[in-house]
Amino acid sequence: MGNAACVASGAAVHGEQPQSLALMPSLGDGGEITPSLNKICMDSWELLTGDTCASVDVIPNFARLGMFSAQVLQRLNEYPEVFAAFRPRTNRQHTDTYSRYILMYRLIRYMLSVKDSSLKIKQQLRLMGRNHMRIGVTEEHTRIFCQVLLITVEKQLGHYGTKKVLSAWKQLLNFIMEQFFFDKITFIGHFTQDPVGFLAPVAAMHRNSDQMLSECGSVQSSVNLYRQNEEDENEQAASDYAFSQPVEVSSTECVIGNASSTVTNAGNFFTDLSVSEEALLGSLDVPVCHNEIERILTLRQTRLLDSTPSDPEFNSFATLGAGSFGVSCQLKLLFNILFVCNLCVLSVLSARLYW
Amino acid sequence: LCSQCTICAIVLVDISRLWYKSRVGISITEKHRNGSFDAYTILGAESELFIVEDATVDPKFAENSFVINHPFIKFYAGTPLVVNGCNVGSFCIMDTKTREFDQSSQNKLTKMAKMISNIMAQRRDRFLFEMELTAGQHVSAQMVDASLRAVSISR
Repeated sequence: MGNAACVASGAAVHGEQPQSLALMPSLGDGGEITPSLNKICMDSWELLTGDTCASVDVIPNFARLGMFSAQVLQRLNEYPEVFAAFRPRTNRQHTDTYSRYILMYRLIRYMLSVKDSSLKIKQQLRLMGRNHMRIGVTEEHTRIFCQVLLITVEKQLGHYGTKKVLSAWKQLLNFIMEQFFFDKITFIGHFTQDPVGFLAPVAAMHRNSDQMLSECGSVQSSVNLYRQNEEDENEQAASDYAFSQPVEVSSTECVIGNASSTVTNAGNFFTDLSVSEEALLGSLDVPVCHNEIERILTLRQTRLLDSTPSDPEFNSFATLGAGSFGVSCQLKLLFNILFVCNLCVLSVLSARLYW
Repeated sequence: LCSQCTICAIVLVDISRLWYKSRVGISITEKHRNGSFDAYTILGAESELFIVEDATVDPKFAENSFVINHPFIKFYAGTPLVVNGCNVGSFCIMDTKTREFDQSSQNKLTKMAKMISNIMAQRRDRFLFEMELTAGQHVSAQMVDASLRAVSISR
């Protein structure tokens, strides 16, 4: 990320500007997140909304939270493209505004759950970033959202919004953005290859908001939620996508789908990872390869996973290796038995010769 | 006697688990990826060896079930299995005692890993070829279907 990325675009420079901060949170300047930095953000969040983040069952002081959310949304409204994107797509149970409030709450709570810069957290954020990019969320959208959030935090905190507090917020947002768009180049091609599959993550994110509220206490719980909703959401996203297509295309899809359903399913398995699989990948404690998804797909294409373990071609190498690099139990035992036998034979022979 | 036995395995590293494609000296078929030796082996380049001389003192493998439980592994040497530029697994040997792993042994291990990689690459090529053929058949079927429709409409 160069310096150019830090400069606000013309479209973004209107409306209010934060007084004590740079206009845009800059990418590439994320720094490290520490528990103390996180605590500063949490404390100011509590001051703003009364939300202690201690209990996730009930939204505390909804009036204050609503006021904060309303101000963010009001500012966000100046950017129609971002405002339109900031909306749960599959939750049809609540009003539009209420859904946005809930989404806002969930999003900020997720941000505040980032307590350190460990590899695990980074991987989970990168995964989330990829999922967002797949549905068309860009760096520009995120920057504008972060800018609006910062302005609102600053305005609402008033004289409590010291430079230290606002810098903590900025650093947190920068870190999240940096990880979100860490590997954007790698994943750009995927959207054109499989748009249906790429709608699933957003559906998984934006549905069942009540449940999400109770789950969004930590990064890990978000991953669990992904796993839980995956099948249901895949169906929902696929149907949403199908409805949005012209009739002509849908009928062609049906013909192909009926003729080659097996091949299509197999093709997805060998060409893309599901949401739960990506979440699983994000939850690993060990470092992963730079081309991890490509690696797993290549591995699947060999069709050796979960195949019968007794494959003579591979077994021969394992046996050869065991023989070459050491002495196996059986062989050692055999040598010992032979040695004892030899001793016996020699003793018998010598006894015979003696007599 | 058994304390001196060697483990040799062809390990495929899946998303969150290791799949033992072939093994001598152990009986399990899969294991979790976290804390495993092979998760680190696949981070290396082709023919690069990952050697752990004494796993009991390495904090990365302190929780590895092979180290703290039977067969109480101490020594590990592995090299990646590379297919299409991706490290899909590892070919490794393990021992219950620390041991010297000289240059000729290292060469042997990497050479065998290359041979295994070639077999795996062949399997993948075959699969892709089959997929291509299947896709071609579907295109032909669609073309036939479209021509039949066109004929029925013209009638």
